[in-house]
Amino acid sequence: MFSDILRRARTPLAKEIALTILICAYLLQAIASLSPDSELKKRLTAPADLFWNFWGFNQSWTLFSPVIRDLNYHVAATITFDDGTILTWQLPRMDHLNIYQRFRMEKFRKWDADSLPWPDYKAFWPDFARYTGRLYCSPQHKPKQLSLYLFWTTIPAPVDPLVDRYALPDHDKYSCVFTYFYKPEDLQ
Amino acid sequence: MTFKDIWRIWRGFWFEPTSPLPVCIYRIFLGLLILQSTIVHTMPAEIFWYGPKGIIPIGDVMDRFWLREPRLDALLLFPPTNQSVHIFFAIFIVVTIFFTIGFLTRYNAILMAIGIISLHHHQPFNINGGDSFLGLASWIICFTDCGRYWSVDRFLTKYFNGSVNDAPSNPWAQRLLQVQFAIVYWQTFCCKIVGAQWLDGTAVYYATRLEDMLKFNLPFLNSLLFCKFLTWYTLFIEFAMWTFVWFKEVRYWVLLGTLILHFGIDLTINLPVFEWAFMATLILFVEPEDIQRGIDFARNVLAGKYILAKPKLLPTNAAAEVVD
Repeated sequence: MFSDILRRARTPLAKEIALTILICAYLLQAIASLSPDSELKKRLTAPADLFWNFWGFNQSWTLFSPVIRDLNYHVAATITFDDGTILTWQLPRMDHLNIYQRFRMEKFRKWDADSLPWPDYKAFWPDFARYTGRLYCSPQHKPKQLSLYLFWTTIPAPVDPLVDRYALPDHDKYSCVFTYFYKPEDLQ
Repeated sequence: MTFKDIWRIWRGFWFEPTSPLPVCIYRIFLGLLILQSTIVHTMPAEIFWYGPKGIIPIGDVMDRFWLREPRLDALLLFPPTNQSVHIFFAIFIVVTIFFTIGFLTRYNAILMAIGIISLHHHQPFNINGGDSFLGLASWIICFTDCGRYWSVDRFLTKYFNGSVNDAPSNPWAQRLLQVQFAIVYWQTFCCKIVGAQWLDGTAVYYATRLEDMLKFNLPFLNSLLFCKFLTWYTLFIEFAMWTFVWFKEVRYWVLLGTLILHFGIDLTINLPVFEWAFMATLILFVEPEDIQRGIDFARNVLAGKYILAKPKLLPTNAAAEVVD
């Protein structure tokens, strides 16, 4: 009997039915997970979420949508040492690099422009502070605190004549994103 | 319409044997793009991103991003040292090269997918949409017959067996790649169409003024009228890529429009990997016969055959054979 089941399972039709179930499950999970938040979405995706995320099937394709930011900005960190000196670390600023450097440093752009200064990254700000502290720590100068600043400006409204892409206003406003006070164990 | 008709259409789309030539070419593009993302964009900063004392220690990623849920991360199998990261990268690059040239393709496809997803999970803050798509495509391509053509596997099979299998194969995974690609456009279109900037035509103006993504400065981007045209063109193409692309009569026009869209974005906006990943995937929608025709044409041009094949240079009976 078992060999009979195996024989039937190996027929093209059985294989097609199995694949159909697999394809439908994949498409259902993909489409449901990309749909707007709702109770139905939660219930549809919950059973497979763990599997989906484990294998890296989670996805989101919302680049430039629904709203494109109307801000230009860059970030810089200031480190205050125990002797009172202050050091400014300018993170890679894409608009100051040439085209080849910008091309190579895309992962830095993704991190320092799209993640680092924003609240979604808040849980990792202490990690950033600790990494930077270790980078600039020396027996003579021990970092005492780090502050991350966001320098920004708004993109002018789109009225003719349009502002040239390479003549955009300076980042003349700033705000402090966070301040971190070092503990001795942070610098080891 | 009966259920039988629906099953027949479904079977025809997913399981009707077809040539795997498009996905074999896609394999090469995919491998090259993953190599680019790894060698050009990640190295030599791999320790900064993935090292045990890198910008985010993996323990914090597990606590605060994975939320203590299990995630595939082969880097965790290695001791937490910088040397392990170097070894992981060396293995990953070799595996990806083997996949690209089609050597032990299925095994290397699986290893490559594990590698790229592990990197994405280990450091989730440095990947753009292009990287995400490469990760997804890496999984799906494991189930395709992507080592059949243009591969070392084919050469070795021919060398040792004297013949190769040229029969059409089950295309379900190749179709899944196509549908997954269409899903990308479905979501991005649905998200854009509710945005005020997309509706009033100013989205391209704002997108091309983001300083961190500036690339080449093209003069026509200083015209509001042209920015509006490009905004609505983008919406139309993104709609067409999950609707009209399935209809043979207009498919190549949609693909051409999409190619122009991504090429234009690539010229003006600095998003490495992203645009190229999407342009490369368009090959999956081209009919295998048309790809073969293109390859034959390119071979003939390279071999200079078109110059020799001019009718006036051929004897009368040979010319007649060509016409036939």
